[in-house]
Amino acid sequence: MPSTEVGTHEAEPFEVFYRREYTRMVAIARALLRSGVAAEDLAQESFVTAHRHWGTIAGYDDPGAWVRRVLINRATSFHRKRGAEWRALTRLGGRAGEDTIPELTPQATEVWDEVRRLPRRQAQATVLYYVDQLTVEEIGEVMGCSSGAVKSHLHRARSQLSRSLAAWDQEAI
Amino acid sequence: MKHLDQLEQRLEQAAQEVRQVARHSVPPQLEGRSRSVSSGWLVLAATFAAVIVAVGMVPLLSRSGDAGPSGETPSTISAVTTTSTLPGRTTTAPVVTAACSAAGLPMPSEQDGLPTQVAETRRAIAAAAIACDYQALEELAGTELNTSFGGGGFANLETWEDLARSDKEEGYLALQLLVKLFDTPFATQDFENLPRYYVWPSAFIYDTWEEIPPADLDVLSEIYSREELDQIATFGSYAGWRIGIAEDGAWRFFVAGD
Repeated sequence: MPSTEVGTHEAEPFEVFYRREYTRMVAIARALLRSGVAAEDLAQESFVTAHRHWGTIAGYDDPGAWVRRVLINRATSFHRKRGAEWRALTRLGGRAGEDTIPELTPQATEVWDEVRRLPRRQAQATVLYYVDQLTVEEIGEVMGCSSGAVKSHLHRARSQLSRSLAAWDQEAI
Repeated sequence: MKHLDQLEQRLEQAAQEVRQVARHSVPPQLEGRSRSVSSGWLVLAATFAAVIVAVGMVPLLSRSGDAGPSGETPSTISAVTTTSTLPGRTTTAPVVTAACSAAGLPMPSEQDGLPTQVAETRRAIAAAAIACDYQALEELAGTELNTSFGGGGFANLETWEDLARSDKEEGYLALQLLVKLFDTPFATQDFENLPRYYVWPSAFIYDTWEEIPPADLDVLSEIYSREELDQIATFGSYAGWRIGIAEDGAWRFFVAGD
């Protein structure tokens, strides 16, 4: 059943949903974007959108899938997240000294840099699978495609990443 | 195999690290006390949107819809299964009561060859979009409208419009697109065991970009910039925005992509 189908369950309050899902959304955004500040911005903007439409999406079987879809589409959309990252960059000075999420290690940064170079759908599937630890069925719900298509995206992503990361290792040696 | 095992390990480690650093992100406090909660950033976002509307920035934030040239267009072009007159711009739009990307646009002209129910739905969608009447649009969308592959109904449309009007690159001027697409010639699509679909623009039904008649491409330049059309052409066929209404008058899709 598509995630946007209206369920029969009682809608939960937005606050509860927000508290439960916030960290997971930031993690997904962090893997898809180069900047921690931009990731927080993107997650928050996605929740703003969810809040605006909460009257509708709260009734869905899985409102989280809807928000994930909003988030990944914004992060890796056709236009590529320039808005969030630009705002993040322009805000960096103003946020000097403020705590934000820590930087990733060079090893993890390298991995996510390569993931972001993948075709959009492959990158989305990879992040949802590894970072958010969704099943292929759940990823299909978020991405609006079949489980088979998700498996195909993941297979192609792994093949490409295996080549690109191996090449990177060779250069490092 | 060894490479893939190593890759799996690296991905798992990198994912674990991302999850760990994300835990350092403190969710902004919510200030509300009830279900109609608002937070600092929610209030800021709403204020920002209100300011944009108030100062009339919306036209300045238009993207694809405003990018096309406004030169003369042919008066008649051929659609695939029907002939439709390229809409003129004489019909007066309904009174605009709120700002949206379609506010002030003229109503698309009537098109020959449409069944009554389809014509009525087309007219109603365009009128609601021009009036920025989201409630009317949602009612027209019903529960069957598909706005993205695999699901997603009216809410997506409203989200795209909101994002575009808030200067988010990820948004689309959805309401403007609806009106402008209805100003293009239509074509029909038949599927086994399904009602006939009426689709705007007609370019969508051609299997390859090269098959699209020049006149049908010309009319798209009213909607897309040359650069955007070139980008769409790289798909090999028309993969841009299109609207579908079933022959019974049900609004079925408003999607883009391959």
